[in-house]
Amino acid sequence: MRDLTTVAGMLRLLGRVAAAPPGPGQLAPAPAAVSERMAQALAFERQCTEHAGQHRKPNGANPALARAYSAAAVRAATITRHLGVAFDLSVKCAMTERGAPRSAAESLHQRRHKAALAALAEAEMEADRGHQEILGFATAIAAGPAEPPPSRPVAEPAARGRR
Amino acid sequence: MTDDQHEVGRLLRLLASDAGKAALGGVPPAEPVDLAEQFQDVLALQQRTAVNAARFNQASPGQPAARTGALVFAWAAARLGLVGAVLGETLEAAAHLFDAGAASLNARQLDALEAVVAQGLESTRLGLHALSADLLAISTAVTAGPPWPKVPLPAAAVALADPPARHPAPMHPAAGEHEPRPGAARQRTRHLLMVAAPPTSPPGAPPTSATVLPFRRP
Repeated sequence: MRDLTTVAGMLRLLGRVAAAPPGPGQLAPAPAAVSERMAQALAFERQCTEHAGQHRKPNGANPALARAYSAAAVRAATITRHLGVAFDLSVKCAMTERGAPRSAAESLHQRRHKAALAALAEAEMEADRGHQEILGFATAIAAGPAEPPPSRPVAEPAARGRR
Repeated sequence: MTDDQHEVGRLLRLLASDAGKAALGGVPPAEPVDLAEQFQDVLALQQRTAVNAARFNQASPGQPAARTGALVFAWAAARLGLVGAVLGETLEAAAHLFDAGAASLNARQLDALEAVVAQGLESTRLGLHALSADLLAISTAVTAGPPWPKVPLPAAAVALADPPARHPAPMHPAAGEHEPRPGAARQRTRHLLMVAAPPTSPPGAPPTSATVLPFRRP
């Protein structure tokens, strides 16, 4: 199942890109950078959804592959949501002016940056979980049809307390 | 009418038009692909709006139309952020729904997912239409001003309006803003379990199914 291995690798790559460190002198990535990462996640989500749909059609039915691609699409959607949060925060950071050191405005600015980074880290963790999940699908499918389908942890609740 | 007034009014009308168009994207029953496109449209709008806010924020106090434009665009960007947050969760719910067969969701969970998607779409549509209407009204007021229109400003816009040197006022997050709030996170998680826990779970027990939905009802 080389295809699925590739999909798993793409998910992991998506996570690495999502959590890439900001440029020099920046606390958090610029909105344009986050927007670019989100576009990649959305494109990946779209491709996986389309593949899942193709494998559900009667003439090309492959339920196992359909499940795997659906799972990848769900992971990509969750990654997108985390990136959306980071994007919103990065836009607000970019719009507001920095305050004096230890002022309330500066404190809010710092908290926004930290929250944006936490959202990016969540995206990366979700990508890693997706990577493992898709590899599980690949292993199960390669083992043959006698194997029961791998369990489907649809989505673990994100560790929102960290945000 | 000054050049500033004309330019701010023009950009506000353009944004109003684009927000109205984006509202048409998510027509139920929406596939994840449709929602992804709508999400991207809204985020692109938010980014463009933020760029306009920053541009007009460079204006001097002697350019009241441009200063008003900075406030209005910052306010619009914050509102688009809220719409984007709802859309992100709606997209995730739609993806789960698309995956419902594989995940073996029960009828109650499917109903919950469908409700999230339907409410998310409706909330997005209403939010974008309302923003579009507000922006049109404001653009008219800007081009007719003075007096300049007053906007219900979120904290982000207030920060733009009041340079910290003159007004070091405390800045609280705007309503719905994504800030680290442990209390809110706990409440949200509890709500998730209420929505998604399988019917067989005893009250108060953690869900035995792995299908906990990582989103809330809009």
